[in-house]
Amino acid sequence: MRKVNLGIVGCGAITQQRHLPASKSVSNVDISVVVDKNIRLAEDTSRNYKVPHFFADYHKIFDLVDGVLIALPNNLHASVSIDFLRRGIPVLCEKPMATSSHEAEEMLRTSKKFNAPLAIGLTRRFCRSSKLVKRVLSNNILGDLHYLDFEEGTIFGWPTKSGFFFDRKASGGGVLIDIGVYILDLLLWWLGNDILDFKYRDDNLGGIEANCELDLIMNYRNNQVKGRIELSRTRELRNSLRLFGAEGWLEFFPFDCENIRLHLSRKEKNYAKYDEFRASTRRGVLYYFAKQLMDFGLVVAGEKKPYVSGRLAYEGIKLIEACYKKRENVSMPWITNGLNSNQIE
Amino acid sequence: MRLSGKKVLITGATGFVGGRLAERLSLSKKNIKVRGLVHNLSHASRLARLPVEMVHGDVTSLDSMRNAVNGCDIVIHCAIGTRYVAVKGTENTIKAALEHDVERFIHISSVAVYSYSPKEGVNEESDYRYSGDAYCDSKIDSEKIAFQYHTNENLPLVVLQPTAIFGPYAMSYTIRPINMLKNRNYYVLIDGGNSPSNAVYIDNVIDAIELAIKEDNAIGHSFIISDDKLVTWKQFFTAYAKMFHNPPTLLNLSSKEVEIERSKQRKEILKEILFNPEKLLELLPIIARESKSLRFIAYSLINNPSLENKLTMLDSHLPDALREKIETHYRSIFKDRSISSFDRVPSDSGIEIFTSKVQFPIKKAREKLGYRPGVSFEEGMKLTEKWLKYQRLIS
Repeated sequence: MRKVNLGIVGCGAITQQRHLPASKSVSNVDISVVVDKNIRLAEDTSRNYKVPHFFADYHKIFDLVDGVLIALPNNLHASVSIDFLRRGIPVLCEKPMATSSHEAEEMLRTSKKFNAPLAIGLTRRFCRSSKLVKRVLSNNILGDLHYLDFEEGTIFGWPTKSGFFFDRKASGGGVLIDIGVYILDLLLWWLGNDILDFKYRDDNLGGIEANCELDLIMNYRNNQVKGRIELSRTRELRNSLRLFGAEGWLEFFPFDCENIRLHLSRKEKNYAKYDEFRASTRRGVLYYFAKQLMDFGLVVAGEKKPYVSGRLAYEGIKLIEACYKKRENVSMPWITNGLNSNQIE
Repeated sequence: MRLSGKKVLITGATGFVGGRLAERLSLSKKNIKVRGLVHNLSHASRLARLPVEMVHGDVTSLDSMRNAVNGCDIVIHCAIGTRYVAVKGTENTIKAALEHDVERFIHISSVAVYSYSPKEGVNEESDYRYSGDAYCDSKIDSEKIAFQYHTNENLPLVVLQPTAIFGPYAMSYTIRPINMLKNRNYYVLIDGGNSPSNAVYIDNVIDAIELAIKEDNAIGHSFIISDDKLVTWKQFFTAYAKMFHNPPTLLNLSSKEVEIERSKQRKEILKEILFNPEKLLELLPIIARESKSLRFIAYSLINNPSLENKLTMLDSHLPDALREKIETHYRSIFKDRSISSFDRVPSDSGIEIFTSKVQFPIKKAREKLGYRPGVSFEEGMKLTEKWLKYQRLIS
């Protein structure tokens, strides 16, 4: 297995908390350079993680790396990725791949034109649990699907360094583009993207949304599947993705990369293995970040195509964009109360 | 003075009062520009939904406050914290406000300045009462500083002293009681819960803030802000209990019975700490490493049965940087204690609050500000219930 040199552009929380710690256990990848426009952060990162080089300007690393990981604020994902791709340098771009479908399309075009692979950091697709769901569905174990109910919400506590999450221009949106991009990606990966109709509501009052709700109807294997997706940054929701079929239902847990739960109405022998299919060890999220990095290392070495390519990620971005376009308000009487009080001038 | 067209800085904009204030001001049709001071960016999700300019800063840094106040006409100081943060933060915010000639400085204080067991007949003219409680005493110190700057440097100050504020995002009087009712299925009323709760719905406090800006003759005054109708603690907690499908029990204990239970709890806490020393391992090395004299405090921490007063003690003894460090560890260790098995009955301060016979008067606010509580207790509880359901704190 050839070892490749990677650069990381952006030394924010995701780099510090995930990519660099994960990289320690990846044998086919050397992180040889880190970049951040805050040179002190780049220097500290380089020292703390024993990365040989650091720069403030990513243009300086074109000749130093075999591949690059882009972990910048969302609005810079496309332009910086494209700068590398057009030089033939493979890119692993953090999610969301872009803040608009137009940008995402441009990334795909550039990747193709310059024959430079583009992988997207939708880590959850590497999880054992999400692959199990895919297998359950491919084997039609739940029977005809008719309903889906996805909920993910925790009180936001990500140690953001730049705070770009809360700047619409930099983030491209709120919880939908941040967490929703994972959930919608899984939806599209599991069930395809034949969405017939949808309604979208969120609580954006002139900034970015912290809560959103998506009702949808989609076509899956000639069946109409209805569903709801609810996401939050300010509430503890159920934190499970449920898929209901004629023969039973399954539950995927966003914070458990290993196990899913299957509830089958008929316990046929062949299917029992899924029911009992519990992972012996619960691997942490870093394991899957390492898997992602290893996959990208192989891509850079020319040994395979990206496990998560830009193509389906692009469909996710298109859906997010469509949601924002069709948005309606979530009803919140405790907020609207007293807004037009006559008592006060 | 008119609020329309003004630029307002809210400190503590990611908190309970500051957060609701940011909503009301930024969403009003009065063309008010709102800037919110954000200390911890991770807590900004609620605020970020609004058309509000967010400034990352820290009230304990004067430079940071200069930057935050720059260009603002009005400052509404809602930030809270430990005694050090509260007092230092108030002074820095005031200094920055004076340097930038703001037209109004609204300081959000609390009736806690009169202690949790105020004297009968208390009003805005009553003396402050230090009680040793970290929150109460820090509110007194902050208010004193604000009035000093008003007297000596003409700070255009108005002080508001709200009572027990409830509503969406209220930790003390909404979220914590709801979690207790949910997790334990009972709540303890002391002596029948017949004492006045002095509950006030958050939006009424926001109305008062807006009036304090509008009324020029409010400058230099403090105002108690509460609802006008008497609501007892029994009525208050009954309203919460009724929100559950299987309403939890409201237990009635006498003050004496509560005291006996408290003393039992103290022994249990001590036992827990003694038999689970690993819980303190995180904390002890830090203290022990710093200096010999601090070890004494560490041992006092273990032996002091009242968890609540530990922060007070830390506050008055430790250098800032170390205090912050210890506090962070302290909080992580005792994070969930607020609704642990040790809280079968109200805390010491809770006992004082639940047995005080005082109903705070709003006469001065009525007369000078034209304040009228616009949202009744019942309406406030209805809105709170809707929010609690949305928040999934009740089903």
